Amino acid sequence: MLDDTTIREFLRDDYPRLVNAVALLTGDLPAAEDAVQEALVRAWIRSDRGDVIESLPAWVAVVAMNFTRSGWRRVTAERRARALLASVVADDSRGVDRVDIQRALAGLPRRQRQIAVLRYFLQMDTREVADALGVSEGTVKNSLSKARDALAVTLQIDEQEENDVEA
Amino acid sequence: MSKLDEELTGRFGKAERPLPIDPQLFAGLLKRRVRRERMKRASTVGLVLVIGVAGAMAYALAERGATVQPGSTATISPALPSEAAVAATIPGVPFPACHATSLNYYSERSEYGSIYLFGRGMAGAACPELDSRNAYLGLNVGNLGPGPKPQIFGPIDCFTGCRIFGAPDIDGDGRPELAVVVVDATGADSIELYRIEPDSDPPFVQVMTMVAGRSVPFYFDWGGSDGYRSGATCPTTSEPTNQHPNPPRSGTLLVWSARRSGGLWHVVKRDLPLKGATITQRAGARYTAPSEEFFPDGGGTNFCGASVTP
Repeated sequence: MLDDTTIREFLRDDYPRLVNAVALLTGDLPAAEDAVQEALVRAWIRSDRGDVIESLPAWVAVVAMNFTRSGWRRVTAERRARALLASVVADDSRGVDRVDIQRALAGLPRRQRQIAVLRYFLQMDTREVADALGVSEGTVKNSLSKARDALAVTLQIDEQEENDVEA
Repeated sequence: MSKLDEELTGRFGKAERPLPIDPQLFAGLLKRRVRRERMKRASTVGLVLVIGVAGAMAYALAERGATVQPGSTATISPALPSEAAVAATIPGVPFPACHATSLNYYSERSEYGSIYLFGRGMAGAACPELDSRNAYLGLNVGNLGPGPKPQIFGPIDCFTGCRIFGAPDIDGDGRPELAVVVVDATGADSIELYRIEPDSDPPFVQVMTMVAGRSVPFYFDWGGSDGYRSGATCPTTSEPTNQHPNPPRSGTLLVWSARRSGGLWHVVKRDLPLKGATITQRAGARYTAPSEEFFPDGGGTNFCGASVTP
């Protein structure tokens, strides 16, 4: 069962990365924060009811991503308060990389985008991605292959070098 | 992992933006949301029971063209949010009002005033439940004759329900602060505070606090059950005496919570200075206490000298 300690550890160790992952998918940081928090609340309630969540970060990541797909959005005092701090969050030095990645992801179908973020940003292996999404590993590999090819083109990563290495 | 995979992993890693958070603050906020979600689910059945009574009362009032008048202490009408409630008219409010709570207060200049909390309704339609999109505060509305100009403020934080809690003078400046309950029926209610500014626009300023560099609405818990109690008091600068039964306030809010475990109360107390509309957070003092008398069940019915209904 989730308890205070687990939640605080999750917030310290996993929360920022999951928010970033969802924000990569949507391009909207406040919405990503809302979605991850809501997913965590749902996880907490499920845990209270006795449901077992094998991997909290993976569960929260997928549920939060699903929230953003359904257009779900909360209006909370917390979010309004955080909006005041948007400048703090926006002032970082990795903006160019992020914009490149977001643009590249935007050109992918939703499922490929989701799998690419889980694989490359959250660094889950294909089995973990498959488990989190409730699909077969083959489906994940297939989508990931297409996503990888498209991302390599958009991000101008030299695939020839890749082929040479593999050869 | 192939070289392309490594390259993509590296590029994705560079896309991460800093997201400073305070795990303790966020854990508290999330816990509050979890409580509200539980309450929301649990109250669905209860609401069905009150809809009939509250709806009939509200309908009867509306049929008579009733207006809502403030009482001397916080009052609630109808008693609980219900889909069947019909909006009522409050003089000075430019829209039909739902789920109104109100109280009278006296300013530091001993001027009489009224404060209302209500939801925005639609004429001829059932009242929506109060939430953070439709809940408003009204200052000096409801007056039928000449008097201070009515002012409306909002929408305010309400989450899944809110009502006026009381208007104690927390900082001892002679002007009461407004305490609003954000409803959480299953455990402790959350109290949010507003500074009342009768001569300003807006007439209410929500009391905020800085946590980890962030300005967020201040709240504390009030209530509890068998194993948990919470509330707040306003320390005075000296003990009451016969000559001075009401010594001045120290300007701080003392927020406490007590959790019972192993036959002891594990207490956390925090002295929080209130200056203007800003509360300063400080680390809490922790200790254990064997006695139950100090921690009123339900948070108590007195908040810094003001009568409240937990």
